[in-house]
Amino acid sequence: MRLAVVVFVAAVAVSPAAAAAPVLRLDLATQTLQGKAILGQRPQAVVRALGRPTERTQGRRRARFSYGREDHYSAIVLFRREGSVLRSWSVVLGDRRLRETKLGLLLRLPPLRLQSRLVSELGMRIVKRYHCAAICRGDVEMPDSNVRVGFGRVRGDPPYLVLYSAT
Amino acid sequence: MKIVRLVIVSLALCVWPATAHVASAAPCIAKDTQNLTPTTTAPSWYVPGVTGPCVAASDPIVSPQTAYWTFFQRGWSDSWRTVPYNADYSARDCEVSLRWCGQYIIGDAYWFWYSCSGRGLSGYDVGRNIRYWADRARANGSNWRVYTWTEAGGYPYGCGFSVYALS
Repeated sequence: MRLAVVVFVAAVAVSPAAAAAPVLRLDLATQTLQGKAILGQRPQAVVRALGRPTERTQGRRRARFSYGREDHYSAIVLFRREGSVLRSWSVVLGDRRLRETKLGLLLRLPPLRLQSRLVSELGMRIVKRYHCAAICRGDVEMPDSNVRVGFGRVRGDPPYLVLYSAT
Repeated sequence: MKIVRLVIVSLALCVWPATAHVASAAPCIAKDTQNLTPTTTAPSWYVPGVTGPCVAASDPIVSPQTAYWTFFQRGWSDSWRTVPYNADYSARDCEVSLRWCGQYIIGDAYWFWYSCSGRGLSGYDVGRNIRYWADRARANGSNWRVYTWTEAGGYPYGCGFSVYALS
């Protein structure tokens, strides 16, 4: 019995849940993740900022780095070729523990509340008002920048936020 | 009891010819350049290989150099397009293996499988939908292509298909 308890405790201690991915810190105003610029970066720079991806799909013109399990990812970074190099142009964040400098736990906010706070507290402009059709989605634009933020949820999946370069 | 049976039989006889009529008038896919609302599943009346364009345009006189769909950007979305007969090949791929067919369509087999199966679609559903849109492209003319896309920022991919005309 005592052995069973020890085995159980040991199993819990090394389970993926216990070794959960670190909580990501996002700053929308400066467009940084973990304090580092995340858009327009080469793959090596993204690895330096976020660590080695759990899964990596790399083609000649595009690439995708996923962090965390695909059905429970914390971040997905999308790259596309610019000139002769791959650069990140979009980062998808899906961990409800994600903490934004000004808005706090923004993926725990109801979407319409998130939209209104992005506008009122970060001065963003709505480019596509949040609504649900085949999927639920809204898009806002950062002031004086070519960066947009999309947010929403896909049936069954956790809510997400995508920060992308609209160039 | 006899009266009830009589009523049921009468009702069945009333309904049967209408059903038979619908079944006998096999629908075909008419040219329609207006209603291009993308779908994730083909209409229930569409039978692959049986329902075809009412008047089929010949496939475009281009030979794809590759089975891969052509990547293009549409707004802030990533999109991929192909000619109808290559779409038919991809449809067949998906019917055989939903896990791998996305490599040729969006260049990412896992993500395609994850997105489509996450929406409850089987390889047969996806293949049938692609064939439907390939027939829609044929019905519309030789400059029409089948396409699929992501939301802005490259995420999420919704497993939807439609057609558009090359300008």
